[in-house]
Amino acid sequence: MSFSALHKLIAYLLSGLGLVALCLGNELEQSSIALIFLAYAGSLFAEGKLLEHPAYAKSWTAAVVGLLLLQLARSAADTPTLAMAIEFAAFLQISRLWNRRTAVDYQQIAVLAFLHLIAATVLSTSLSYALIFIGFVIATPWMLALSHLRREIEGNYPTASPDDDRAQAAIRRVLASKRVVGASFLVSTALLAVPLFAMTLTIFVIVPRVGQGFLSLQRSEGQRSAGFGNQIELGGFGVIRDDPTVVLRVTPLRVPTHPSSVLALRMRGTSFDHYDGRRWTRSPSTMLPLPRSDRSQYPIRRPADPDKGDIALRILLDHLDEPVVFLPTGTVALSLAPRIVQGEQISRELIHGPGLDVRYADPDELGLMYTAFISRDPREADIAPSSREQRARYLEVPTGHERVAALAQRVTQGAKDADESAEKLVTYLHSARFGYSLEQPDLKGKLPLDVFLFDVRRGHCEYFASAMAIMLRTLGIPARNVTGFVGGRWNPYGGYYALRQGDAHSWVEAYVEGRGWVTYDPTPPGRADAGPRQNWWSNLQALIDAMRTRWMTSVVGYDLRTQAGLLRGIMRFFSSHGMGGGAPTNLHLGAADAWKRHGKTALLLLAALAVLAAFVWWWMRRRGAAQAARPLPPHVVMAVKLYRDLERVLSEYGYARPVARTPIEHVSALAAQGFVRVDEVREITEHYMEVRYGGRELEDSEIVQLKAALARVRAAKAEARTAKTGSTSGDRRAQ
Amino acid sequence: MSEAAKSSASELTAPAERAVPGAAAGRAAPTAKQTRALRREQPWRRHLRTTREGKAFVMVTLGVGVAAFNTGNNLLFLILGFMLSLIVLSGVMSETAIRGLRVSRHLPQRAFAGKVSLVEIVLRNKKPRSPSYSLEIEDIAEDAPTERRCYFLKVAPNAEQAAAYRRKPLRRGLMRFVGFRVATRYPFGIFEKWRMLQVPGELLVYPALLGERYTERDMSVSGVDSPSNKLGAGTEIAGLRGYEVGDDARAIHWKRTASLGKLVVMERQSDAAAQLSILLDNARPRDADATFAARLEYAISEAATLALGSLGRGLSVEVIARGGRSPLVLASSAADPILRYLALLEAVDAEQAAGFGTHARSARVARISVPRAAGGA
Repeated sequence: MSFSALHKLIAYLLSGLGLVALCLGNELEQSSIALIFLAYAGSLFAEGKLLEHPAYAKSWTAAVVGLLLLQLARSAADTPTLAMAIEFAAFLQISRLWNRRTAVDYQQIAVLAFLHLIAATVLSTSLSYALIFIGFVIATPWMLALSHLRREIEGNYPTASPDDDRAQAAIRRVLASKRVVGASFLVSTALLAVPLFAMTLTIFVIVPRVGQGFLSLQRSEGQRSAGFGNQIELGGFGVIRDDPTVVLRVTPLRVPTHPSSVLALRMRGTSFDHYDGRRWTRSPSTMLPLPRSDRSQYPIRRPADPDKGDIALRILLDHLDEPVVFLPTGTVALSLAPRIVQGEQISRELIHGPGLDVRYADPDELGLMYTAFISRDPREADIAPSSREQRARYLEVPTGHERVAALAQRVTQGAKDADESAEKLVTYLHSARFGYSLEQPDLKGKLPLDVFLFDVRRGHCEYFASAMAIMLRTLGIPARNVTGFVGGRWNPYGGYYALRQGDAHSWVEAYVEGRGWVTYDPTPPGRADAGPRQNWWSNLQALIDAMRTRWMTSVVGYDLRTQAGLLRGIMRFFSSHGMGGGAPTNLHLGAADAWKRHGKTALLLLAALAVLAAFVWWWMRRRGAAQAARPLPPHVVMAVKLYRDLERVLSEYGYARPVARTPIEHVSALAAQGFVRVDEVREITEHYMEVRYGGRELEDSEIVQLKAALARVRAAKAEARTAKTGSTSGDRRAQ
Repeated sequence: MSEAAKSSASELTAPAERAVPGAAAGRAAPTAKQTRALRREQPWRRHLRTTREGKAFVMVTLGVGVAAFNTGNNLLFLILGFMLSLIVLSGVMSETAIRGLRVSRHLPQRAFAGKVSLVEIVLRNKKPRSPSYSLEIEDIAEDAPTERRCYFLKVAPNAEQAAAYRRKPLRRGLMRFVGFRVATRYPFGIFEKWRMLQVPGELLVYPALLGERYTERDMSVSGVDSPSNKLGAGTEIAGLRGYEVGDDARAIHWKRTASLGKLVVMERQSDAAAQLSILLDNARPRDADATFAARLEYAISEAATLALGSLGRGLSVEVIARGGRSPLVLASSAADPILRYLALLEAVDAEQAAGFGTHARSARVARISVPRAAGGA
């Protein structure tokens, strides 16, 4: 591939990556994105004299100015400014791509692509950004090196005036050459991506995270997850049952050796107190700060107590449109690491409202990572009791539910307390009369619960939970509809349990005297069959999610605390090795344990690296030997033979070439000594050098010509001797 | 392709000559102090200069760094790490480009002050595997500014390329070369790294020659011309031979040509006694002013021009100055012995100056003295 073709290809690769990065944030309309990439593809064909026409460049400049004015006007007319700016930035790149003339244009393309990458840092933090970044790591050295070489070619080869046609032709010839850069250049420069990436990560890890705070532009599109806001329409959940998007990742701090592949983790999100017959809502109320016991601990029932065997679950929650803190069943306390702002630790603020709805402040819109402590005591699985006034709101029943009340009475006949009534209702709803279905029933103007309980008797969790909650309320038992997630599939790549959008669920909490709020799940077991299917695609999605999680936790969420922890780990490692055979300490034992766990892996890795290095060395040597042993082409053999014959003849004349003298130097020396056939010697020597080292081919006519020149040199023996003698005597006389 | 014949690359990647920045504006020659520093330069030492593009790159890197610290956006930290890594990588790759090189120079056989000469530079890449890209080589000489540099786009592994640059010595005498400044802006053009390669060399610069308008003066002629046994532009006929392209038409022997039916020319013997002694007065008077050096240079140029012209006309020439003389150069021989003598000739104080010594009685004599200062007595 010629230099210019390769340069063009790399320029399009880099600019394409930059444009994709700009489109990551979902700020642009689909039509704008389509237009951008249409113009991008069209610019591939902009070549030749069209680009040189003065009116062409002027019209593009006018277009850029025009678009700027248009965008300003649109921005003034309440169109989102960010989208306008992104469109304009993309157009600038498009304009450059349609005006690729010189090295300066290519440099501008590289600069704009890089600026797009920088701009995209405030548009998206997704895994796609990571992939684009890796693309930049590979393509940037190519692009910068080629742009630099092109600039040097354009700057150095017009030895006369750069406007001179001959100079331009010389530049075009060099740019069309396939010899300047080839496959070896591409491969070696691409291999540079490895150390480049390693250095980038090293610098990324070691640069102290002491800043942050003045201008946070971080933003991302939160996942829309129905059911956790202030209201839900009955029938909103069923449609997302098969959505495999992961929302929550739960990692037990002590992972068993063989974790079970599926868990039924119940993650409580939001409770609803008011039901109007068709939708659940949360009554407006003041959210209060959740009390803290120290900088990071938030007791829910009591402080976490390792002596009681509390189980710790580390939870990574994606940014949702509602900043809900999901609580596993039996949560007694939460732990959230403080935020680090300008080097200072500032505790996160958690708030809660009636019904234990916990929310967090989400200024970064990056989601939340927290630890939930779960009690092993079954009594602590219930939510703490609340006052009679607080419970009153959970007894409201909308009008028109008399049939529901009658059914509740009939089903719970003979029950002694609230718990027994609730259990009877659960048994009733789990019975064969009812079935799980994602299909929305046709209400025909009736109340949803009437249709569900008396007509279709099929529905999803929301219908079951709503029916049970209202039935309990008709019996005078405080009850509320609770939404959250139930599920958890083990992700072997990331080492966590993933809860997906499809695991969203709805259940009931009823107030039982003496216990508090007890969880009841009236949805029949058929729900489990309606979840996302497990196949190769879901495995691939698990892998992608593990990468995404690693990206979010290790790169996007990397902070001073992680940095300090890493530093402590490194210091522990070195200090434990430095202590040698001293008395065992906790520190030492920790390092020894780490070595026991990771030592073999590290050794295997080192051995693999050594084998790889040995293979590369062997391969390069073999390649070098093969190149050395490669036979010369016939025309090169002929040129070498002619030059060897010439050297023999010159040697006979007493003009042998010293070893330290190059062929060209020898020609100059012969000229200085007055050798008569120096022109013939020069002709043969120059052809020899061009063919042997310059890659030029020798034509048949040239071979005949060179043989004739060699014959003339042979025939000039007498003349040569005469000249040599004359020159020597002349010099002697001159002395 | 005479220079590029040594190259292992094709014509497409042949080296080029480029002007040294600032040369057109009268870039100063390296001072003696700078030259000494360059001579002492260790081979491992490297110099770094940030290019205009590099300054922009560094500014953007700083901007990204400020933004990263300000916002705490880890993606900006990632880009900051990437940009800093590019700077480090640039340093490593530029080092690879300027390592493992051998540079040699081929000086012209004759160089005259004030006249452009071609100096050939041969660059060899000794590295067995990696090519060197984008190299710029400047040949540094003492007290002589370099106006042109040689640019090599690519030198393949284990290969060499040659390039020539134009050098115009400003004055006669010995020009001492210090070595080569090997620079590269590869790979990204953000920094220029350079090193010195000590390759000393010497070039004897002959005096400047005067133009065609120069007229000989004060030449007294004595002695009798007599033929020598060497061919030349004399009066005696040495023999006849067949016509060759380039022979003077006036030398054609028409009678013999007519009888043989092919062109025959006469060869003549040179006149041995046609000898010119140029007496060059290089005495510096006690009251010599600041312009004396320039006037002496003019006189030396006169002597050189006269010597070359006379040798071309078939005279044997010698230059005699106070306290020394050049070798006698026979007619039609190379003038280098005289030019070498003149290149190194210096003024002597009038009080201590010896006489001109003896010269052949039969010779013609041309006396050249330092012209008087303008407006002087």
